[in-house]
Amino acid sequence: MAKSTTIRMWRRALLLIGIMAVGLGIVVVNLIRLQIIDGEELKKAAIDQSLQPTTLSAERGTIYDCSGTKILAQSASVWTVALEPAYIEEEDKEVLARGLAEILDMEESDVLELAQKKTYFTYVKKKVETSVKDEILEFLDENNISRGVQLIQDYKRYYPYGNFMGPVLGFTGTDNQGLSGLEYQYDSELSGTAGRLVTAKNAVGTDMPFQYEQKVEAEDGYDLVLTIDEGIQHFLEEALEEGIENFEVANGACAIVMNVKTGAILGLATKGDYDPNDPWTITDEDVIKEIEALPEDEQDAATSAALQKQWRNKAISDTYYPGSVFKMCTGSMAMEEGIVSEETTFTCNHSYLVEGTGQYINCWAYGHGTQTFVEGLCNSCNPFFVHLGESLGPNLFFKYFEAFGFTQKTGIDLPGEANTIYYTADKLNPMELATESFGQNFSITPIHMLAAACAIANGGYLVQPHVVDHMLDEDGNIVMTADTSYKRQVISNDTSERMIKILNTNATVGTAKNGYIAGYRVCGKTGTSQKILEDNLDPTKKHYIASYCGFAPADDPEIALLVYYDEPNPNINYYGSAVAGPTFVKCMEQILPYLGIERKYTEEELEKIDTTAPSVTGVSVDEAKKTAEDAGLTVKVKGDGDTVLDQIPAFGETIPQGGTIVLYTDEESQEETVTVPNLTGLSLSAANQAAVDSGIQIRVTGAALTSSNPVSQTQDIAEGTEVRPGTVVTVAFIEVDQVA
Amino acid sequence: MALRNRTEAYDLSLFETRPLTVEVGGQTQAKPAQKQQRRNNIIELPQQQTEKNRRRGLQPLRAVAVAFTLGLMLTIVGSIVFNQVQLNELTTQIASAEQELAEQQSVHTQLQMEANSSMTLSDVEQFAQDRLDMHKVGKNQVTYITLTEGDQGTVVQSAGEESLLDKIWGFLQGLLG
Repeated sequence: MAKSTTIRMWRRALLLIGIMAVGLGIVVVNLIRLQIIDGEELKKAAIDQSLQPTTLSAERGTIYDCSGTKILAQSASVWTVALEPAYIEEEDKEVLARGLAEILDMEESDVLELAQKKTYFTYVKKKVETSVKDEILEFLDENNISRGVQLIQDYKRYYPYGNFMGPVLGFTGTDNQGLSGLEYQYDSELSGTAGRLVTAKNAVGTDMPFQYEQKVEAEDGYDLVLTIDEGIQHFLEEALEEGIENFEVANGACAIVMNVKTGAILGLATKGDYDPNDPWTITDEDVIKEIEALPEDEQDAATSAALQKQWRNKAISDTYYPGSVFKMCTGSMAMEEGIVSEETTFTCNHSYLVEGTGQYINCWAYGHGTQTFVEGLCNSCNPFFVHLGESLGPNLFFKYFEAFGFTQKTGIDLPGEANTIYYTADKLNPMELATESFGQNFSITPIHMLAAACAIANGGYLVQPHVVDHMLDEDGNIVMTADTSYKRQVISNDTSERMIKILNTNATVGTAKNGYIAGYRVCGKTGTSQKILEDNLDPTKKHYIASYCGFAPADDPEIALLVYYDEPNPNINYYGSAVAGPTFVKCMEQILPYLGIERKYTEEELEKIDTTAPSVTGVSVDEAKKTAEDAGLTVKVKGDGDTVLDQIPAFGETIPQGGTIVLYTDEESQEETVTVPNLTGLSLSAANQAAVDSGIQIRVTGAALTSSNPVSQTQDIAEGTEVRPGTVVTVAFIEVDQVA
Repeated sequence: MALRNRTEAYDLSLFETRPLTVEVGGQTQAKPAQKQQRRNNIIELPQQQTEKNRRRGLQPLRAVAVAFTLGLMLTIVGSIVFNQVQLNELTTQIASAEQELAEQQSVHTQLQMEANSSMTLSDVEQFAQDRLDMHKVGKNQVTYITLTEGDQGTVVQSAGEESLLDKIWGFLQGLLG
């Protein structure tokens, strides 16, 4: 019995061992298959299943003005509203359409049409703010609509000041890529680098960042700090808009302010412009009307062309004949080569026979007679400069032409800079040389002309125009600084100093006197160029470009300004001096004090300088009279009271020397008003008389102080405005006889 | 031994029960089979071994230790599971908070841009003039002053070379300072 049990036990044990061996064998075989044979494949599949990579988007850099604090462009996440029509309950569609239309400011029928589409997905509105998204969510919640509306996160680029600096900033596309302006030029720097996060996901898809995490942080785009000053830009844009309105300028305008020593652009205004928040909308209503009047099949092409035109930055993309402004370059060349000095004389008999051509070039005047070089430049005498061009010869002329940078792009850090068009030395035959000598027959951009003017102003050094001062990374470290070194020296310091004096004289008593500003030693040159091509295309009218280029202060030039109007109405005026000069003055009068540049008056200027009204309010009439008369002012008393209750002009306000201060002594007199008359288009005496007749007084600016025949052009308080007697209206005068 | 010399195929007698024989003093004697068989199955162990193999009784300390170990293991496993749950919850909260932060930052930017858009320099200028009755700074309000160059000190006489003692003293002061 015992023997049988032992054998059975052994047999059972062996059976069990066999079964276990088989089982273990199966496990081992499977392990080998899973781990070794299919191991890699299964491992990959497992990782793919549990580890999902996420793209970490980089934030686009911000654009600041020169202060580094004023934001000009910034990105923020917004929302795109989309519908999934296939998932919307039929009975919800109308409610949904009504609600969304109201929230999104759309037509209900349009939204309903989208909701009824036989598709699974359709966009309703892109880039809506978070507040709008919240409204939509609330609406869906209230109406128990749980399916069919998608809110997708998106990015939007904000330009808080609308069309302010629009063509410089540019704009971005739907994928946040730069399409124009600085946004395009610095797209790679602004965009940054997207990051990547690989991590295990839990059952509900949330990251489990502590396991298998591999994270490559996104690098946000660099911030751009511009050289452009918001204040200066504002002065330019305001003045340009006024000029466009005053002279009915048909084809836009631009103005550029540059630091003559570094090439930093302090302001660059272009009109007509656009709002970068909405670049695809045409801003010019006249253009819209013209397009609407076209046949339908031509409208798309016309719209596209109009958009391209409004996106164009005229300051760097438009070429023009600089006209007489270029005479400052020709003069510098001749002076540098010793061909001419301040006292060198030339006789202008109106016509000048160009050597070797048998053809004559006429002067704009009926002959300036014998004049020195200084007088020749102040008269903007064409024959004198043709003579200088001939004296230089094509090789020397072209050498300097090239050295001033007219044969290459300036390399400004903005896209779309145009190529210049010019004759090389071997093709400069006598007539081409003659016409180029006074700024015709070659095309450059306004930025080229201004860079050359800066070279004349700063001792002869050609600087690199630039808009971006430096770039900052997300931690605020400076990663790039603009190179402010000069490219080359074009003329000597001595020539530069002498030309500055001549151009200062020109802006004081010469053809550029419409750019004169008392106390600021301005240097300038005007230019008027004809658009021959446009004249040929449209012979019914003349097409001109009026410009003014100058710099200040003469004793140590700091900034240069070029003002450029494209096609002012010739029936009003088209000369650079008359059209662009007042804008130049208006800008410089604001920019120079803004930059802290001190006025230094000559004795002659001091005699004419405006004074300020003393404080006489609250004192007796007799005492007030004495104070005012001591300040050299005339007194007019309104009312029967004994004490001065109010005064016009108020304490500290500007009043012309010998002007009238009006004292109000009772309440009744304080309610008295007068109407501002028209003070434009008048001579100095006529404007003054009109002011006296109306009970107001005028303060004059512009050419009134230096011109022999000034005419008032603008007034700062509009005609018809009701003001209190004694109010001072500022009237700007120009010299209408000035041309070129 | 007896079987080897036999040729029968089946000798059923082998399976019969019979007493075992033993030789005692040269004579074979039969012994009871039961007794013989029992002797074959019994393994006699020494007393010491018997004591060693004896099943031990309930030992309280050991039970406590086992319970403690098990409890510890359970606690560790439990805390790991609990921590994982906490970790997941916190991760979810962090993700949610980060999303909320990003959204609020965007809202901040949106509102800031909206506020800035109503404060262009033109608007500010207009408001200052029309509503606050302010004027631009007049040239009479600006006074330029010329600053003298900063104060300068000039060493007119050399202090001379330091002595060795001064150097040592200076060195010590440097160490202490």
